[in-house]
Amino acid sequence: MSTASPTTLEEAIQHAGEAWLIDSFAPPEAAMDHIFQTLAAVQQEAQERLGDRAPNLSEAALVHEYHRNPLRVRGFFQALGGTRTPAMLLMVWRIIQGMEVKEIQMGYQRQQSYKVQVILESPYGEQDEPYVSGNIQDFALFRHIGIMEIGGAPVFDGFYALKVRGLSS
Amino acid sequence: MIGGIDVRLPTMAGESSIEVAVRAVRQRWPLATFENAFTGEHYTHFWQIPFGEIQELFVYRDSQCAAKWDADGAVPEVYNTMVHLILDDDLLTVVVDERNAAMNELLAAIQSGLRDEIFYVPAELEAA
Repeated sequence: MSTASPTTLEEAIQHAGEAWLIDSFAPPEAAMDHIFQTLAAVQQEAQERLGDRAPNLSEAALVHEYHRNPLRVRGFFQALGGTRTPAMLLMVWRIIQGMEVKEIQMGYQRQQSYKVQVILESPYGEQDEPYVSGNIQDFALFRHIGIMEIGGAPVFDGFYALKVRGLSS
Repeated sequence: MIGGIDVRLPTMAGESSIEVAVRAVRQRWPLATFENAFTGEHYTHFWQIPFGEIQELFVYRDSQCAAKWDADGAVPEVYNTMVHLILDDDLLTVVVDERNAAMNELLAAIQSGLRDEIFYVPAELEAA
């Protein structure tokens, strides 16, 4: 990671060591515009689903959150590189915020179909939130979900940044 | 916490270690509240915790227990209603009052979360 304190989203992405998000885009100069478009779509999804409870995914809010929780926001940056599905990115952000993974249902048939539904549960009594995707690329997001057991029972919880080994390593 | 039992858990999760522990604890303490052990700042909701700035955190079973701890300290009535998490590089220390079955279950949950291979295995970044 670089050491300068970031003030923009692009600087935060680079500071987090996730510059590949920008560099691997074709052309790289267009990457940030694309990322901002994606974030706008996620924000719209959030407004439609959550209304007043929608998280703020503006550039300023993300940079602010990056300073408080760099690793968690780094995980979100990685998700931005793994999917463009607004609902799935909103799901990721909601897990990072603390929503719990209540249920996952996945169906897959080779060369025929893929569908995953995730239901998030609020620890504070808010309504359950279902998230559905039929895009198999979104399956990569589940690599980030934390795994634990409590009393021998399974728990998926948390969305963590992968320790990404770069191209030059 | 003064006194208590230190349970030292090796971790490769780095700055995420406290978050992993909090997520494990709240599986049994869904109404948990939190306090920055350095600054005394309280957090009533998980999303308020600035994990990137936290090296030590008190996790209370609920707000009533937090108030009791604040008022009376480590009196027997509040034993095992708070855990103290201390992160030091590759070690997460969990300070508890007593090692009973319920606390051992919480500790095992934290340990299982820290063992998640996501914190051990680097992902390869492929060429675009």
